[in-house]
Amino acid sequence: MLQVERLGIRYGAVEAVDNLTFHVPDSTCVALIGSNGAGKSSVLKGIMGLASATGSIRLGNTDLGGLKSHQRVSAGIALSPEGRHVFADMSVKENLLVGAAGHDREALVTEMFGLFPRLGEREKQIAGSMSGGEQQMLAIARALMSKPKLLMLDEPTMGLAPIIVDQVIVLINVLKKRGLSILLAEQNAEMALEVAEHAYVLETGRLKREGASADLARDPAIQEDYLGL
Amino acid sequence: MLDLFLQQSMNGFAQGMSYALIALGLTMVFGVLHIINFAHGEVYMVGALGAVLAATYLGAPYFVVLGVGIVVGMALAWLIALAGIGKVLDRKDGSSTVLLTTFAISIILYEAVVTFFGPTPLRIEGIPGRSEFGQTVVTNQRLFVIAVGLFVLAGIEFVLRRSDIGRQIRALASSAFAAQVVGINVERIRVVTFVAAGALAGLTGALMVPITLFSPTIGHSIIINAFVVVVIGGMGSAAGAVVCGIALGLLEAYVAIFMPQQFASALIYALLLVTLLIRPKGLFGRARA
Repeated sequence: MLQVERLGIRYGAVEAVDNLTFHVPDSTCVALIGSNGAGKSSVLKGIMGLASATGSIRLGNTDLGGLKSHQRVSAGIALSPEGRHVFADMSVKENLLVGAAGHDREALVTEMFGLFPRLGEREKQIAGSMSGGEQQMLAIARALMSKPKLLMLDEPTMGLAPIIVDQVIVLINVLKKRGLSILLAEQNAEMALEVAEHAYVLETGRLKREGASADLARDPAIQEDYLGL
Repeated sequence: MLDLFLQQSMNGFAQGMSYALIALGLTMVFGVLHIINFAHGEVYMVGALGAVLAATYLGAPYFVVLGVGIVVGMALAWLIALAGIGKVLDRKDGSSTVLLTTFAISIILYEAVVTFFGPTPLRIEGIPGRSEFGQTVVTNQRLFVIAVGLFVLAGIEFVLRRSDIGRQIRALASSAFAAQVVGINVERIRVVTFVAAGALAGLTGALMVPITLFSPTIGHSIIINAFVVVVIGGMGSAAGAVVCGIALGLLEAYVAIFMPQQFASALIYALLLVTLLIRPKGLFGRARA
C-alpha cells in the first residue's frame, strides 16, 4: 500500500527525519513509536505534503512526490492530526461534510454516524464545545470521509481517558477488518503494539528498531525504554 | 426633529451598507488569507469607474452597469491576487510583504486613474426618483442600495452556511492546517475569497457612484472607514463588519445633525481608540485557537 524510502525532513538546520524507509501493507496497521520529538509527526506530515520531504513516497502505484496535500487526499491518504484540529466553530456534520469526497456525501455522513453513534447524537453541536474524546472521534471520522486507502492517525490517544483509548483500539480493529491500511504514530507504545501488526521504533528521526509488534513487545530493551516494564 | 432623525436614519443606513459591504470583503480576506488588502478601496474605486464608463460611453442601463461593476471588481481582484499575493504569501513574512504589495498596487491604480481620467468628479444616474414616508424623503437609489445590500448579505450568509465552497472558506478561516489535512485546495479557496471580495467591492462602487459621484479619491475615503469598521467589529468577523459598518453609517448621519462632518470623523477615531484600549479584539472578535 504505502512505500516510503529514504525519507528525509528538515526544519531549517534541524534534521527531523533522516533516511527512513518503511512500508505499510494492505489492510494492516503499522505503528511508528517513539518519544516526543522522535520524528513521528514529521513523517506523517511529510507523507501528507505538509512538510517538505526528500526521498520517495508511493501509495500503490502513485508517486506522491510533488503532489500538494489536496492531491494526496484525492490519491487516497487521510490524516487525523495530533491535537485533533477539528473546525471548532463548525458543527459536527459540517466538519464531516468539509472532508467529504464524491457525490454520496450524505450517505457517508450516515455511515460515519453508524460507526460513531456519539457523533450522530451530536450532529448539530459545535465541534469546539465537545470533549477531547468526542473531538478525537470526529477527527477520525472526518478523515474517513475522504474514503481513504491509507488512514494516518497521529497520537489518537493523547490526553484521553483509558476507556476512550479502548474505544480507539476497537475502532482501529474495525477499520482494519474493513480493508483499510493504517499508519499509527503513537507515544503510547503499549497501545500501539497491541493494535498494530508491525512497528517501527524511531529515535531523534532515525530508525532504531523494527519488527512484528509481538516480538517488539517481548524485547527487553523496548520493554524498558517504551513500556515502562 | 423626528423627521430629521428618520431622514438621517435612511441616509445613514444606505451609507452604512456600503461600509458593511466593503468591510465584509476586507474581513473575509483577512479571515481566510490573514492579510490586510490595502488595494481593496481602489477595487471599489475602479468598480465605480467601470460603472461610470459603461453608463457614459456604452449607454448601458443601470442593471447592466451594476454587472459591469461586479465583473471589473472580480477581474481586478484576480489580477491583484495573481500579481501581488499568490507568489508572495507563502514566503517567510509573506503577510507583511503582501501589505506592501497591495499598498503599492493601490497607489499604482490611483495614479493610473488620475492620469487617464483626471480628478474631475463624474456622475451617472442610478434608480431615478424619490420615495416619501410621511415627512421623510429618500432617494430611490438609497433604498436600492439598502435592498441590494440586504439581499447580498443574505446571499453571502447562505453560501457560507450551505454550500461546499462556503464551508471550505469557513474551514480555511478556522484553521489553514486542518483545511489542508482534509484535502481542501487552499490556494484555490484563497483566490476565490479574494475575487469574491473584489466582486463585493466592485458592486458597492457601482451602487454608490450615483450617490457619491465618482472621483479617484473615493477608494481612499471608504477604505479608511472600512478599516475602522473591521477593527471595531473584530478582524475576521463577518458579523462585526456588517453590524459595525451599518452602525458607523448611522452614527455619521446622526452626528451630522448636531455638528460639522469633521467632528463626526474625530468621534469615529475616538471610538476606534477606545475600542482598541478596552477590547483589542473588537466587539465581535474572538481569540483564535
